[in-house]
Amino acid sequence: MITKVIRSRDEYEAALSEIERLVDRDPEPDTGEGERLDLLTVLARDYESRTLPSIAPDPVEAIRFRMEQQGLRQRDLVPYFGSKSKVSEVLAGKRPLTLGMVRALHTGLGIPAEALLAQRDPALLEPAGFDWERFPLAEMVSRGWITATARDIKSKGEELVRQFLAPLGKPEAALALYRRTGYVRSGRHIDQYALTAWTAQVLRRAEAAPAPAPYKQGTITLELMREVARLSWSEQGPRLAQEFLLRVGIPVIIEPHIPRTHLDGAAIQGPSGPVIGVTVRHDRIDNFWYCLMHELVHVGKHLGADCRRFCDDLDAEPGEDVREQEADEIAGEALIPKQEWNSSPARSLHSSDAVQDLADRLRIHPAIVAGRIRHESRRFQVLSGLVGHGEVRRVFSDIEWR
Amino acid sequence: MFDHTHYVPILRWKMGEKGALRELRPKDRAKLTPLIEWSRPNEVAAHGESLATAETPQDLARDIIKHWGARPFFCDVHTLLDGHLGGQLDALRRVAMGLRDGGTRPIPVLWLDDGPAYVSTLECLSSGAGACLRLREDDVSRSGLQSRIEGLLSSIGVTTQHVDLVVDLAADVTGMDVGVICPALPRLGSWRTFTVVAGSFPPDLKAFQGPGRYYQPRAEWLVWKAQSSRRLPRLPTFGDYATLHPVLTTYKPGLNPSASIRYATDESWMIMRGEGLRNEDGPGHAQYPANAALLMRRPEYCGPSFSYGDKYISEVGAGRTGTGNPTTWVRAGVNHHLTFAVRQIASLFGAADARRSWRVAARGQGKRRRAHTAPALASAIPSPERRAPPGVPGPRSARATSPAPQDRRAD
Repeated sequence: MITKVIRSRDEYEAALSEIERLVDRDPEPDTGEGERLDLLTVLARDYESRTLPSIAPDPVEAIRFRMEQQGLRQRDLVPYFGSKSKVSEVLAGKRPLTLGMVRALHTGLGIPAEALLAQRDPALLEPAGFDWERFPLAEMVSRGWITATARDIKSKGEELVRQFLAPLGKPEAALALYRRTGYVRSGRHIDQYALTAWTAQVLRRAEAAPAPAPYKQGTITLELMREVARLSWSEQGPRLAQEFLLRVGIPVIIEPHIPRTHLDGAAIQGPSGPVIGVTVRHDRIDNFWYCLMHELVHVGKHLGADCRRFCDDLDAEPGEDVREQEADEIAGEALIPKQEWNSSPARSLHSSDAVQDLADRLRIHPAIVAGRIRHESRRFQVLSGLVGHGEVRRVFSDIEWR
Repeated sequence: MFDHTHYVPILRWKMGEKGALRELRPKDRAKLTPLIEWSRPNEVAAHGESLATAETPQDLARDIIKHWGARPFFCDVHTLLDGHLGGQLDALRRVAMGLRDGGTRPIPVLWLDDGPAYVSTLECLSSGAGACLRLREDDVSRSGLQSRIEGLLSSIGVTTQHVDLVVDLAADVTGMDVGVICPALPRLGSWRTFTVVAGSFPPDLKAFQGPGRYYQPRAEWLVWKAQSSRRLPRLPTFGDYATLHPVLTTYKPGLNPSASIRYATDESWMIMRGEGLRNEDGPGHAQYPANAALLMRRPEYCGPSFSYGDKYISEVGAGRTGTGNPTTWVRAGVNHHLTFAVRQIASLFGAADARRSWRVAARGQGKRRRAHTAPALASAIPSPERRAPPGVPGPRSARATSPAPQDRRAD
């Protein structure tokens, strides 16, 4: 257990794992776990500040990080940028920060000036080539994705990676393809190599257990999504949804989150058809079903030659991307139709009765309603006992959760 | 005047309670006699001014006629007085005469320690209507109770035959053992009426944490019902404090009342609790329609035709009227409670007309509904169906003490 200053990479990785586990549990600040989370965060930040200058956040990332911390939306930043369009352009990386903006953000939001003035690291955001050493090989071995010894990693690392990525085609091409034709929704830095490894693992597992029939375009309708959502009523709902969707040609692969990807789920165009990957990063029933619906919309409406992968950190706002906005909207509508929501007591009463009432009416799991209430009201402290903490991973007990 | 099939609620003369009385149906109104306590307006309490500044006697009389009509009621003005009578007697006399001249039918309430000056001041209220003696729990066990009572009554020239005796146990529901109370009371059979009152509704809803549905046992009803089948020298009339705590809490600036509905059911109050109306970023008054809609879907809901309060619940729950506010929801909750208690008592004693009046709308479907009992009730309060309270024998017969489910149909 880490209780002192972090001095090695191993200690740092261990701290990150524990932080992620604790974040999932969402402890109260004044509890033992809450205090532990605070301590680990301080220690990890200290290590990063000393040893990882190369992955210091670029200006956009620094702004997004502060937005996430303070629950700010894009419109809240208008006073610092001058207009809504400038906010959008800066966050999309299309417009550089002016000195006035830097000053305003530093003074108003307390973002360090050095972060705002930092240069974007093109290597991190846009991997141009194939650098096998940047793949998280040790992590991949520990997860059983590849079998190798430490000596193997050193001596034939590149070969191992190439074999592993075979389902994606040539690694260089795969990285370039997903860079060109993929979309990542995230408010944080994403390690593209870790993300590629995770994608490959999802596709490998999908290929190993193919759907009995190919996916047909047009299969996913709002009605089908609602039918899937109603499976949530069962304790085994996530598994039932998996089986249901496999029958219509969409493998749903539950693959735990890999560090530095901050991923909830992904919709991927695989060699044999669309595949959905879900990390169950937040082990909550509401999160699972929202994520599944969101990715289903991507499969039904957005995957294609021009976009072969959507990776979603659903904690992040959809931003200006209309596909993300549409996936959010339809996912919400599939789970709880707007008309039902507007006429439901749950809209204005944050009680278990109100939750159960709407859940009964729609024949969906109450956690989905509780999650909607928390999301709509932006009050994430209410109904925390009803969102199904720890109830999704339990369904997939054959998976080794960390 | 009335017997044990009647009902005596103690109510404060405040907006919500007034409205609750006003909206009672005539048949229900005839089955109850309220004991009304006047609460001083807050500004009077705060500044210690005399009661004469509160309302003119004429206003008060008009107010009573408007909300209660010209029916008898027990009129307790003690709470209007600021401790010492000096300087307030004239004002009190003006109030008393204003009520009498305004066409109301007050029965003045006396306390055992009332002095001659106070009693004679109120005498003009009586006008032949007799008086009401309100004994507190401590009074019942006081030595020389009989001589004190005789002295008090002789000072106004009435006998027990013209006096309504109310034993007010306030929040001490466990003291509601009529078997103990009766022998301590002198000339029990001779009083014009005899009522025992207690109230178990908590002072506030702090014990119910967060929005949700909760149950609070109607302990006074359960205890009284358990005793109603005993062989007693005289069966008292039932009284309670409706959906309010016996001790009036004074208004505190900055209070953040919750958007809650208090709803009487067979053996408990169902409390549909919301969060504070003033909570930052909270849903505020919109919680009322939500709570009303949820209440309407409960098996305990009596249907819109049961009472004004139930109709109000259905109107707000369906979005056909505004959200309401704490006062309108006191009105609805107390109105439902008064109606419920009247019909519950009538049903207990099996009168044919009472059974008919109990029938309630089952949302037009005539479907059977189960009477709900709060899960915690069984352990919290003994009822005759479960076990008798200590020192109290169990019921002699198994007669129904609640209306049979199949009786609860639409009128």
